[in-house]
Amino acid sequence: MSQLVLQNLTKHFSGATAVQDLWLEVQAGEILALLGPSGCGKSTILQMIAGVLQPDRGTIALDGKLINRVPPEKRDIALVLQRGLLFPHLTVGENVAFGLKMRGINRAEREEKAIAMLHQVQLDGFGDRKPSALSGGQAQRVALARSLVIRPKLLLLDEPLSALDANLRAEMQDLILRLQTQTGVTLLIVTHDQAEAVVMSQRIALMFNGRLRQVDSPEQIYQQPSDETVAQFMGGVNFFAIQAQGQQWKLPNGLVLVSQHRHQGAIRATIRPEQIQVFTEMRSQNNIIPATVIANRFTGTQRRLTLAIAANLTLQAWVTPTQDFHVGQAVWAYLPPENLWYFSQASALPQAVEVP
Amino acid sequence: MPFAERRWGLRHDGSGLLTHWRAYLLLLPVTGIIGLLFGGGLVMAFLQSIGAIGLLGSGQISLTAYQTALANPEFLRSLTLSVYIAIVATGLSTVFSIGLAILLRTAGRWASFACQVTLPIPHLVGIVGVLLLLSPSGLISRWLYMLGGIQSDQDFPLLVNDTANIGVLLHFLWKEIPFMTLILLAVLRGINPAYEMQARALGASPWQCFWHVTLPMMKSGIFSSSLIVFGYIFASFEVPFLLGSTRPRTLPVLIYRAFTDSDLTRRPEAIALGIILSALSMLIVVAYSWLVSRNYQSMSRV
Repeated sequence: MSQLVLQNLTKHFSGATAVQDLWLEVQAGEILALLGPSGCGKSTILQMIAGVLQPDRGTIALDGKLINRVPPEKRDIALVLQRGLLFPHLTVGENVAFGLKMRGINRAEREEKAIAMLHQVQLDGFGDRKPSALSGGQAQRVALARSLVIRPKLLLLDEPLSALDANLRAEMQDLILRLQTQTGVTLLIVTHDQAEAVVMSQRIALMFNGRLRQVDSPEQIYQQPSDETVAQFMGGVNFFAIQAQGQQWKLPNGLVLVSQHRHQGAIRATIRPEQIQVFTEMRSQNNIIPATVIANRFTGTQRRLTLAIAANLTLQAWVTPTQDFHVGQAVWAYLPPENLWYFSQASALPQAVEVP
Repeated sequence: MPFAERRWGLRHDGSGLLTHWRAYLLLLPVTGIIGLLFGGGLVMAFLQSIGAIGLLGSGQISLTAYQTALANPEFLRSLTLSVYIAIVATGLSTVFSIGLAILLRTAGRWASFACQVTLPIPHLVGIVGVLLLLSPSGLISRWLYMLGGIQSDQDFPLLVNDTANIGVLLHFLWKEIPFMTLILLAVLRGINPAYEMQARALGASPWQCFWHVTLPMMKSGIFSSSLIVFGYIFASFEVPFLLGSTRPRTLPVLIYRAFTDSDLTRRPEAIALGIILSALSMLIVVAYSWLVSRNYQSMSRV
């Protein structure tokens, strides 16, 4: 049985639509990332699931039970908000034990569980400190401990790492994933950072303007985006107008590419910049295009090349930094047929949901 | 950071010391005026009370005035009454203000404006209002008579100059509730509502959320505003003088009576009582602050 099922969920704020007809299913023990730009309705969805906000329409079911009218404290769902939001008047230990105290658990047991949980987030001995004495990363770990100590069925993380610097973020991502494996809790993460969504989740639900656009595995969303907006949001930079005749795809400059996908008529095609290979010598195979390097940017982990393949037609190729190129150099770009993807103008349909 | 550095704001280049004292220097004009006017007055009063200076001062220092003041059987009764009025009025104002502030939290600017309406009205006007409304021949009594609720003004309960000091309490509630609500409303609106959302999402019921999160976060506002109100009511003169019980009288009224007595030899006693009242007020403020900080530390243990 699937654990969380959202059907037809809709929420408006003084006339503006925050979430529109959302259908989503999260499996038990799954990690799903709700990804989208700021203000697309992600946090609103979390708040409705947590019960601190009422949907205008639609249902929320947890373990097959409708929980729309269940108050937040009875939902067995924990929510971690941005920046941790530790209660400033309580110590770290009291913060962690907060949920247990609200459940009427006696002091000895609360203390024992809080100490054990602080150990799990590697904050042994921090129990008596005040939240103001913690760093951002430590505060976020306490917030995580505070949510996990109540053993929720579902853990909701709202942009949990957005306030942390890059190194700390990677550390926290590992910690969250490790804790998820240990506890087996179903995890729903809201983020606007596509890299974070890809690293942390098993599936990504991508949203724009209150609507779901694509729900898929990170690989699938990367390789086979449902439309151009999705592709752009996931870092796609190469888009071409194509006249397709089966597997033969004709570029505006007359060059013909071969794809694994068959289609007829006008389409938009894309290929991820890191999947393009760049050679300095001509090779006799399909999808080799002569090009000129017009920009060469070194990022540390990559070399980002901009290649001109015709007038008004450029291509971005991200190659390994050990490959050396210079501006003006004549090169050959190879676009592997299996990596060429296309979309017609139709948007993604809502994900099919099993009614519990 | 080493202790000395933390304590005094010292830095190796020595600039910290100046930064540290600058705050005190900036406070000097205001503390100077208060010190001179209030502190000076207090010193003069103290010198009079021990007979060092003044109309009847013999130049001989003695504590006779204090002995007389403390031996006065009315002193303890007056002190008890003053403390009673201050505690009840402050307690009720605090409870009502917290409730009102929470009710008005999401209301518009009109709520803050409404709370300010009673602030510029002088206490004397309020006192006249209470007299006109609640005295045996007041408006309410007359309406009740017209409606047949009472047979004569003698049937109307005594609400002003009564032994329970109902009129005094009602006046203070009318004046202090809006004042405290105004402060608490500002405090409450400064609290990020996400804290309460977080508490609910961690399993707190609405009541638990209020008790364990909202109320502790309002604590500083509640304590400071109730301290102001308590201090004011404890030393207030005109309200208990005009609306309070005729016997026992509150401490400030007792002092006034002794000070304006035709027997001028009672002056030192009145001044001694004034010094005692000031000392008590300060003692209460210190004790209150100490209790509050202690209470804060043990408020929400694990």
